[in-house]
Amino acid sequence: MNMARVDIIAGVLLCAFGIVIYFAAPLTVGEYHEVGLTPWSFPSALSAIIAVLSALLGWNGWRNRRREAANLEADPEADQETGEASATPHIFAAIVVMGLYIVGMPLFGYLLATGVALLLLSIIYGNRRWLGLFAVAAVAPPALYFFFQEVMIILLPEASLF
Amino acid sequence: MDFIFAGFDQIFHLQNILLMVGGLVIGIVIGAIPGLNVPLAVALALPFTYHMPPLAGLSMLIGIYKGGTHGGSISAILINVPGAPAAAATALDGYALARQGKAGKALKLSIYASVFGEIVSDIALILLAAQLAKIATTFGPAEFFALGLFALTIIGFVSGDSLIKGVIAGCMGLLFATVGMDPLESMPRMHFGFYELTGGLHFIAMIIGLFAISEALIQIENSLKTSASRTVIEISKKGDDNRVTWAEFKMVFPTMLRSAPLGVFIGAIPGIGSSIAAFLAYGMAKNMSKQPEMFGKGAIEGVAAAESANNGVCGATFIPLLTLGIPGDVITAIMLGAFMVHGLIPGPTLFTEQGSFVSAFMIGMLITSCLHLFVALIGLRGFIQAIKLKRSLLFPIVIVLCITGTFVAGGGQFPIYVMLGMGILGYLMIKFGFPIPPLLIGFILSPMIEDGLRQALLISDGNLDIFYGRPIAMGFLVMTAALVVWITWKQLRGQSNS
Amino acid sequence: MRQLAYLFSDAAVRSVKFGQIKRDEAGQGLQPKPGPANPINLWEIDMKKLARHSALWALAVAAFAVTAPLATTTAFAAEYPAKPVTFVIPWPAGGSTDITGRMTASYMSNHLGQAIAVVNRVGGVGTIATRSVLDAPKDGYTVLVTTVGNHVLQPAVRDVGFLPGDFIPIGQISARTMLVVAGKQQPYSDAASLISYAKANPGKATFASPSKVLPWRAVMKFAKAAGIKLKHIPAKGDAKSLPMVLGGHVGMASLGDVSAGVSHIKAGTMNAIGVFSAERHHALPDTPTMKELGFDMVLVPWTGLAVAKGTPPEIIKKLSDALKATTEDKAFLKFAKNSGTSVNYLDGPAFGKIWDRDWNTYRSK
Repeated sequence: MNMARVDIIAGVLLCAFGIVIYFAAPLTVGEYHEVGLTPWSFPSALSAIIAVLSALLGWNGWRNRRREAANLEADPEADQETGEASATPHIFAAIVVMGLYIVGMPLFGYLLATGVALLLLSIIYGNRRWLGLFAVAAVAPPALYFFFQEVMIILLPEASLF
Repeated sequence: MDFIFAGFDQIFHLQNILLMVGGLVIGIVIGAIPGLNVPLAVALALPFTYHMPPLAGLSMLIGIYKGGTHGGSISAILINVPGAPAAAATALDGYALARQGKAGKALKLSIYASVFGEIVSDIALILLAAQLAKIATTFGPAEFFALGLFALTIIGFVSGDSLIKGVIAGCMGLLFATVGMDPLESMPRMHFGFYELTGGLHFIAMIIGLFAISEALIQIENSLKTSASRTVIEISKKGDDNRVTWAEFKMVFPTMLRSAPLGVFIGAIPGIGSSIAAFLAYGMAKNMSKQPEMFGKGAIEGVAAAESANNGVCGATFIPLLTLGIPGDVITAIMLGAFMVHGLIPGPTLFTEQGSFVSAFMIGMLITSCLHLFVALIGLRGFIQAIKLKRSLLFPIVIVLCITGTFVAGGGQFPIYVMLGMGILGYLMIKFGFPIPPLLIGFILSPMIEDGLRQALLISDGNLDIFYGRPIAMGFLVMTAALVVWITWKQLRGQSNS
Repeated sequence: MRQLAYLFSDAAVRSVKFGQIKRDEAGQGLQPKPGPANPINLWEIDMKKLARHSALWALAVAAFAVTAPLATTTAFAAEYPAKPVTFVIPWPAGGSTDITGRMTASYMSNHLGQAIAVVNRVGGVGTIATRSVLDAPKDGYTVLVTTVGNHVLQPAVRDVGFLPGDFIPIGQISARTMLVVAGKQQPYSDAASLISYAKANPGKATFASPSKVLPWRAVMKFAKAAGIKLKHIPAKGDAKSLPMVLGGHVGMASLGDVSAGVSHIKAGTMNAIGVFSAERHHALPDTPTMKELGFDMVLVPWTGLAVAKGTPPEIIKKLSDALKATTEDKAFLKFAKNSGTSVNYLDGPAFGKIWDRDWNTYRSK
């Protein structure tokens, strides 16, 4: 992906975000009585700045798109990411595992959820040393559990499904 | 200064010294572990001190505070995950050094700079407490607003290639901080119907997500590259890469000498904190350096500036606490409990009524700083060993620690979702070329700027005279304007050159 | 649109909380304890919540079918407390409520016979923690360390999703003394000079305190009773308002607890205007109460324990007994005295009357 295209995408997304927040900010405020600035003056001002600046960013990208594309054609190796296999599926998988881990903690208990999450994440990172993996997945969660629950008396989620 | 000798026999007990060492060890380890942090460590240790003599308990807490503020730099340098928000500035150059194999050098420099900053801060606490406290109270809403705006200009120095993206990130940080309760009206705003959001975006969760989770996701890419090494960084075998040479020390010493007093000043004014001090010192060092283009690519001055400033805050935050009874930052606010629970009420009468306790406490700060040097140097080997773990094992453990740490920090499940969301945002920011530090800076400064402005306008009935008539506020505003013009001009010139 | 968002957030929160609800219905399976199985009783606990979400309902049935044979016991009331109890503190660590709560927890665990875990859940002026206790299972394992601010005042000024009556009082632990201080550079140094100054210069005298908390409420009431106009400068807590008074940026600060001001009054850097308690505070024998000054107002911030409504009465009795025993514990009292906490125990019903009294006070504007 070249930088100009990135800037256009980021600019458009952020500009939309800024505009939405600008109009939504006053809606979230309940009663207020204040001279001077209202509770939403500051958020609204900021979202306006974000909208303007990101519009500028996108426009800048639009202006540069031809030049960058030309540069890329002249020097294809400058675009490094085409050489490597895309990591996007792995990133998605890691985010999904993290999400499931958070949701699963109160269902399966801290120990089981942590062990499984540790195992899956290691596999996503490309670890295939199974013996070591299982050893870490079996030892690390109880160690953390012992430290927090027994020593510091901070209760970690218990299993609720069984 | 006679009073300072009154406390010697009180603090020099084996128990106190051992607790300081213990506190330092806990602080450095907790600070270095991503996901766990110093306020949490101090809050967890606090109930134990309720049943100890006051000096013993405070010795331990000071150890945790000082060790933890420095400990954050260890993971910042080794894996680019600041263990504490204050170490985010250290990561900029510390991790760059580590990637060149110079982790040993960066870690040792961060220890020297931290301890130097602490000792300067302790001496300022002992000698200048009363004077600095007076300066602190001259800061009213107008001054806080002006200082906050001035501090925002650091964004110009840590934005990297694109100033506009840095400013957008800074505005996002300022905006995120407005989620939750309106600080002045005590009414919810920006919650969009989620009642959990009326508590605001949990600061700890945000920091962990933006810095640790995003880095963990980036490292997935690295671990898939066939050419990449299996550890995060390689440690050079050359001796000079693993220590700070005398020539280098002479080179960075002026930076430390400037940054530590800056940390002291920031620490003495309640409510700003060590992250801002570290970034301000970093910006100042970059500005004064002969090779500003080296910053972000492994400049040792960057590490020295950030670390001496953020630890320079540590002693100075006790100035408003001891002299005025006002905690200087989040951690001293928690430590206030350790005073109160023993009936020691910080404030002007503490010095007259409990003079020997105060002097023992101050000497204890100084001893802890000296012990810190040795504890940290001995502990260094352990962390260097830990980094030899394979990336594919280290980062899953980091992720689990982040999620566990966020859960343990309290607040139930919601902050963990915030953490995950911020992690994804941080990853996208890196991919889209947005710098993350401006977001952190904006988030921290937002309440200071907003509250300051609104309070000032309330006091003056909406009249802007409140800014004109005040030399400190006006001074900061003029400096801000000058810096903004200068940074923009430099950016535009840089663009036309390329 | 806001309503829709609210609905959605409720659903989201419930489905997250669902795990915790379920845990205590059948979660004893891992550690079978003797006692009769009583699943019907348990089902009633969260029937309403579950019924609203049929998908979760189906899941729950499936889970229950799997775990029912394992759950040889569930009559936890008889054996309460079978596991550590959690105290939820709605204010940050190191503050006065935190000290009281943790102190109580550490001594009460002896009388309860179980460890007590303490969690600080800060945010939303204490309402997030308060509401989280209502979302937790009503089994007595989640106890709220509650104060007047989060419990009565917040629901009185805005819709926070709960009312004081959603809780059952266990007992009051302590009561604090609120104090108004004035900077020494101000033209007034006591209540009389303040009133005459404010009458001559309406709106000129300023005071700092957080908005919509008891110290703010107290000064507003005082100003109304005295017939003067004071300007409120909102500040986020005593730590923010004190420096503003010291630097002369605002005239006065209304403090939630005397401890923040005592040292300054003794050192002469601030003057005390008055306290809002019924009697003078022992650390400030020269500071008059509002009653002595001729204003019939006693406003006392209290700290106590509460559990969600629906908790079985046997459990409430156990908690009440343990709290009573704790407040009579000599070690606890000595500790409280050291830390400047004035222990002021009230049993559940009396504590509940305080809630009603304050609710009526703060509802009327």
